[in-house]
Amino acid sequence: MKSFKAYFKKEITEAIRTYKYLVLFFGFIFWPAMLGPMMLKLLPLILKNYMPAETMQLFSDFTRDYAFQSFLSDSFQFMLAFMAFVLMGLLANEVRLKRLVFPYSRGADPEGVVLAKYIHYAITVSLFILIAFFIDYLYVDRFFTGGILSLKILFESSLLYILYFCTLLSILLYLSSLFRRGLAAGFTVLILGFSLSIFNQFDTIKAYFPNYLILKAADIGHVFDSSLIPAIIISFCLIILFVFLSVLRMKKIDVA
Amino acid sequence: MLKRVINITPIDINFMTSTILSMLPFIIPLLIIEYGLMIFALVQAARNEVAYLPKWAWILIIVFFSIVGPIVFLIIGKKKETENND
Amino acid sequence: MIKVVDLKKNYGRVEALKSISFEVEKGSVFGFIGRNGAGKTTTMNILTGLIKFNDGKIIIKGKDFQENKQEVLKSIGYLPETPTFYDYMNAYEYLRFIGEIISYEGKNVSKLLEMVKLAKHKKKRIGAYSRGMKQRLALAAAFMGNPEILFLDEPASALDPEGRMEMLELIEGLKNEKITIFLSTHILNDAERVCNKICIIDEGKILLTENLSQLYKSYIQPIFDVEFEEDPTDKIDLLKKPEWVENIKENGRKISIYVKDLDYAKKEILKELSKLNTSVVSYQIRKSTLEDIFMRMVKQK
Repeated sequence: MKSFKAYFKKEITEAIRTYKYLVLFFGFIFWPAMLGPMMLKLLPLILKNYMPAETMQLFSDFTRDYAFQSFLSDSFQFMLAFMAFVLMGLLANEVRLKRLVFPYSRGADPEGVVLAKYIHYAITVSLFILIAFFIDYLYVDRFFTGGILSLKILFESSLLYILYFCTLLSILLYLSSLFRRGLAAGFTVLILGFSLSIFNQFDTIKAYFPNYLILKAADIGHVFDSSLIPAIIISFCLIILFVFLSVLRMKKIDVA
Repeated sequence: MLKRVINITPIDINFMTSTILSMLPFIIPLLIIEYGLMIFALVQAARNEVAYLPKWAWILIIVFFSIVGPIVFLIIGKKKETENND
Repeated sequence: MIKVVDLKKNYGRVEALKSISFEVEKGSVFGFIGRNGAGKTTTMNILTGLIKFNDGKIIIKGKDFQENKQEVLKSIGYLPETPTFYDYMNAYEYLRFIGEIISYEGKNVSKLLEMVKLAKHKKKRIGAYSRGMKQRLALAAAFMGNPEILFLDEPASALDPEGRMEMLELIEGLKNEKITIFLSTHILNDAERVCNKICIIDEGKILLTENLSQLYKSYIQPIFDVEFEEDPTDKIDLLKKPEWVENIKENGRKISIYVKDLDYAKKEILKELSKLNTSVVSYQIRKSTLEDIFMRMVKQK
């Protein structure tokens, strides 16, 4: 518990001083939620005179729903890439740069260290996702009309995104304890995040993979339904499994 | 098809400016954040030791690649002293 | 206090520690000496719970170390050879951070900074500290909460002469406070000055463990160094006559006489020298320094 508190505070200090919050803000909020809708609105205006009228017809009827779905697919890519590369050194750097020598030699417990890291960044990522979704709603609602998008739908989608990214965060945490270089963990998670979407093509099994959460988040009108249950249960199990594996790994690893 | 390129009618321009004007309250925060980040990164680059590239190169990157430049600089550009201790 | 039995550690195929055993008494300063790469740091990393070991038993404060690791570590402080910190913190924040892990009162941190002469720099980022400042901060972190056992890995080798003196004085001070100190070094003068007991390790094997005073007695060499005013070459044959003289080595005006029986030679040698009828400038029994002993031990192998 003492190690948990010490490390939780340390993670906050570190995230501020090494600009992790700042960079995550740009990847999670600024780009997909602010710049994204803006580009979607301005693009037809800019292209208007370079395109045949028939093609322009496609752009003219963007609804709020379409704009939100466009945000969802943008933010999935941005959030995945930024999370993977900002947080890839979560445990790898601690070990490689021998930062754990003092804490471990003074009896810091690995459970506390790993849990503090996971919980801190799970909260950070969740908050950033929530904020991104609500800011996007502000922009989408202002720039576009039509569709059935509501705050309730938006909130439900954001919860699915939060669960998905917390699951990937636990995998990133474990890989970061496994590899000496964070970059390897970052790339693996990035590839994993994108490649798991392939299963969304197979109707019979797609509901059993975390990426189904992302698919359902864009299903405006029926975001929450019973088909989500397996993916939600599996995601929670994965989180517990990977956090547990990370603790085990950090107990056994040589830190000097 | 190419002829259309120069076919901007006064009505079009009117429409464009009015749309952009109506978006201003949303564009301004974006610009503030963008330039805020750039200035912040420039100050950091000026006051700290930088890694991998000479300082002037980083400053060019920060100024000419909006958002991406400053972020890349903040993640990898600042020198970490103890990293090369052993 | 610390008992190590048949400790083994392999890095892949390389045997870093080949079954070492030793014991450290409570309140003593245990000097662990050896060349670079002899296995000193490996041993200390194992005893502070930072790395695993392959075989053997470690008992600290009467408890099996592996089974009570977290608990035992609470009473241990470790000063690593190249200490690393979170560079973006300042000294005060870092000590508060470590203090939180071992439940050390936050208000005492300032005193600790004063003790290691970092109070002035406590608001500066650790990343901008000099090597010596980092070493002092590391000492504060290791010493926080008055641990019963202190592991110091080459505490003085990175410091300037003044810092080194201060460090040695500090260790001597700790000795009086009944803190058990496990000190690794390759600077033999330092070990000679502060240690009670010496343990020599080479290539992952312990060559000897002995009290320092005992060590001098058993390793005193039966050699007399004599210096003449003029080159004594033509007269040396005379000195070789007595049967207790084993060998004589010449080096200009100086000669070294190796004898078979030290106590007998002490009485006889002056008589022999006087027979030469030449001027003797100096005469002494060669005293072994830790350095001589170390070199002999390492070479014998």
